[in-house]
Amino acid sequence: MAGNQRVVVTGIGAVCCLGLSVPEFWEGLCAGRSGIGPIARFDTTGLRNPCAGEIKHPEALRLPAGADPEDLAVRFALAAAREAVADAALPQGGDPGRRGIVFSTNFGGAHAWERFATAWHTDPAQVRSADLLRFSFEDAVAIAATALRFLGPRGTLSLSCSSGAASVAWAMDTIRAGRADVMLAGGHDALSLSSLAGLSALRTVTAEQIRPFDKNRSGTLFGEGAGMLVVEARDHAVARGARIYGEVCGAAVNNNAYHVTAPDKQGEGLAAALRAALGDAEVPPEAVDYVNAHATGTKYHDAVETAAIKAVLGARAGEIPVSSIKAATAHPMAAAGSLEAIASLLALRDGIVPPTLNYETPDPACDLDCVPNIARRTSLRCVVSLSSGIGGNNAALVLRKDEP
Amino acid sequence: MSVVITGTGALSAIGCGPAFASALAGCTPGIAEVTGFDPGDAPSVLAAEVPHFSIEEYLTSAKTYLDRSSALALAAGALALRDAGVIVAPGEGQRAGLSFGTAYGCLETMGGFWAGVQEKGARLASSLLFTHSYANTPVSLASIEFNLAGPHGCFCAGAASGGHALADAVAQVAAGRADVMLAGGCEALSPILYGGLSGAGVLSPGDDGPEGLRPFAASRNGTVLGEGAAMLVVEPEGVAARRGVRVRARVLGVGPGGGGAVGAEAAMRAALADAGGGPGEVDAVFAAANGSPEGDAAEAGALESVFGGRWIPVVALKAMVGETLGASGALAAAAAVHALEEGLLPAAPGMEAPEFALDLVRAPRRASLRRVLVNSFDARGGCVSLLLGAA
Repeated sequence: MAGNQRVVVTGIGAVCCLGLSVPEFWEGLCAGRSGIGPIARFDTTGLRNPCAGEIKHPEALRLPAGADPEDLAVRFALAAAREAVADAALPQGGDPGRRGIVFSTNFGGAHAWERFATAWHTDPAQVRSADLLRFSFEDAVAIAATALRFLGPRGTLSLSCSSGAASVAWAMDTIRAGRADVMLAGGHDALSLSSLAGLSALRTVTAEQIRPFDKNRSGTLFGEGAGMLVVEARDHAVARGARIYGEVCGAAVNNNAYHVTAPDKQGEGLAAALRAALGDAEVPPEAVDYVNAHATGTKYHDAVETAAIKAVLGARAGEIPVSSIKAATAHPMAAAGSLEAIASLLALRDGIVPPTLNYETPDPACDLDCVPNIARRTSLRCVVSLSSGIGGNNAALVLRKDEP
Repeated sequence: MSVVITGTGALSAIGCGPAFASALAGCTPGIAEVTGFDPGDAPSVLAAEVPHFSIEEYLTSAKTYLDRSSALALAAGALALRDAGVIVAPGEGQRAGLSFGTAYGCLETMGGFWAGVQEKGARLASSLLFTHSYANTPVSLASIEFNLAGPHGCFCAGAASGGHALADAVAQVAAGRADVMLAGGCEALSPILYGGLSGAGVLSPGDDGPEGLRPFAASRNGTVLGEGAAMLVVEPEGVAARRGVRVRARVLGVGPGGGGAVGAEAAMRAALADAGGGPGEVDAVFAAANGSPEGDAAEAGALESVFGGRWIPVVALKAMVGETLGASGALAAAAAVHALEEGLLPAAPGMEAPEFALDLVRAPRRASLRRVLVNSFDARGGCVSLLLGAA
């Protein structure tokens, strides 16, 4: 939108298999740790891989005062939201109507859904309508809005694996349009047998290790968690002396319009999203210093993403780091895009590019500098975070160091 | 930038396509006893079902499988694009986007998928059913069907989903990111949705009284579920002029808000402010009222706050088409476009007088309409209002 309002991030919150806070998340990424391991929460019989990025001690999540939702996916969202809002140090007594909220989720309250649907099919006497409401996608938004007193514009998105990035884009648009001063934005999802059984059946899951960009990659592994960002009008943030992680200077969300599960092999849809986001940000391709890739480790996707990055960034694509954190966090579904936006902002802040783990064998189809296995120090000014997902969805965010 | 509506496509219990428009004028009832499935032990027996729906009547391409939600969405999309004369060739759709809303998406297919996993184990899970089970399956399929590769959204915010989708489409057009947006929402009735919500304390007959959807009435005791889909084609006025197509209505303002009465009031005020006008210029309101004891009271209170003592006609479309959740905001917008064109405000037969001091439209009424406010509210998912103007 051609609005003059610049948009920055002033608070972040992260919950994933690397830890239940931003410091644990970022320290894990920089140390090259992976949080992937055997799933303990439910029986994995019949799944292609018993491992995932599972959060091991959800009982340790810290929730906002007064919020105690039952479903795990909603608890993830609220814990990350609590951390992000505390981190932003918003003043007491601001107008709650100027603070909005947008979450995204692919599977909603998945455990509540399984309980509901199991009873529905097997034992009607056990059907509880409350479980269907807990599953409904706006549940986390409604609970967070009340608990945190973010009572302004409210949205809930579901755009498969570009959900998390799309929520940040929607927050940016809402602030640019002058409809809020502050937006809490991010994605959340929990691992569940219902979603993993389906994702496993789609043959997106590897029977081995997740190794993005590697020649021998054979699929992804899924994870869970939430990434939440406090997105704020820059003038508002500066006026209150807020610490600024970086600017959200452009975004785009689109669709391949090609096939439900197959990627378009030239990567035209993702390239179009990247081009549109750079255009929205008024940032030329040569100004991009790092791409935080979606790269999930599936045979098709990583090559398609490589082609898209090269198509848009041209020669610049070969000069800059392009890494994926998926081998550390697994693929946390709707949380992916927002956790990766947080990693991108921390990369900008600290001048550290998080590595692509499990990388062994170069693939000519993925001939980018993927920062194999070890984090790298480098000065960064502008970062792009890419997302794409089932259904042909793509999203791109352009993030930049805050400068007057 | 001036944003206009050049096409609508609607499917609902009162009629589909052109029949929707004539049903609006005809005081047509949409709510009746459920026939598509057995409501079982549910305390409710009423619903607003789309009758005799077959996707083959709307699409030229054959489909191996579609959830009813996806089918309704595709049908509405085909109707709206045809109405607007928009044809996007494969690979040409980067400036043509799609914004969509649904509360429960493809719940029936999701339930069938999970039943299969329960019966046969995860190893034999159906990839076909899974692929057709997401909340965003309808919007993905519509993108592919109509070659819409531009800005893309899917909002799942209960009964506000459709309003969110329309507001987003207008924002994308206004931001210059798209030359045309298809926008709307859908919801399909299924035994699992009907049975699931029947114990949630939202459906009539609630605690007492006869079953029925009686918006704003003192006797209201819950809502009646409906199904349907509606899509609108939204584009910049300049693009519509270049294409030489008829402008059917204008989008003058969009207002998002939070939940409850506060959010409802904020959304209406924001839509009016966005249009640069005040409440005095609104000729009618298409309310979100669905017979909920609390929700209707909250909306009535918000209307009174925004419009003061002004006596303004209030249409309660859900009395005709039922509570269609994700489709409701888009159906209301499509109905409002017809109202602006025809100068006629619709009503369901036999509507009861309101409990609140508002001018509820209880019989079809002729009126000179320049500006109509459309509400798409959900207590938990938030509120969205749109101000639409005559062409």
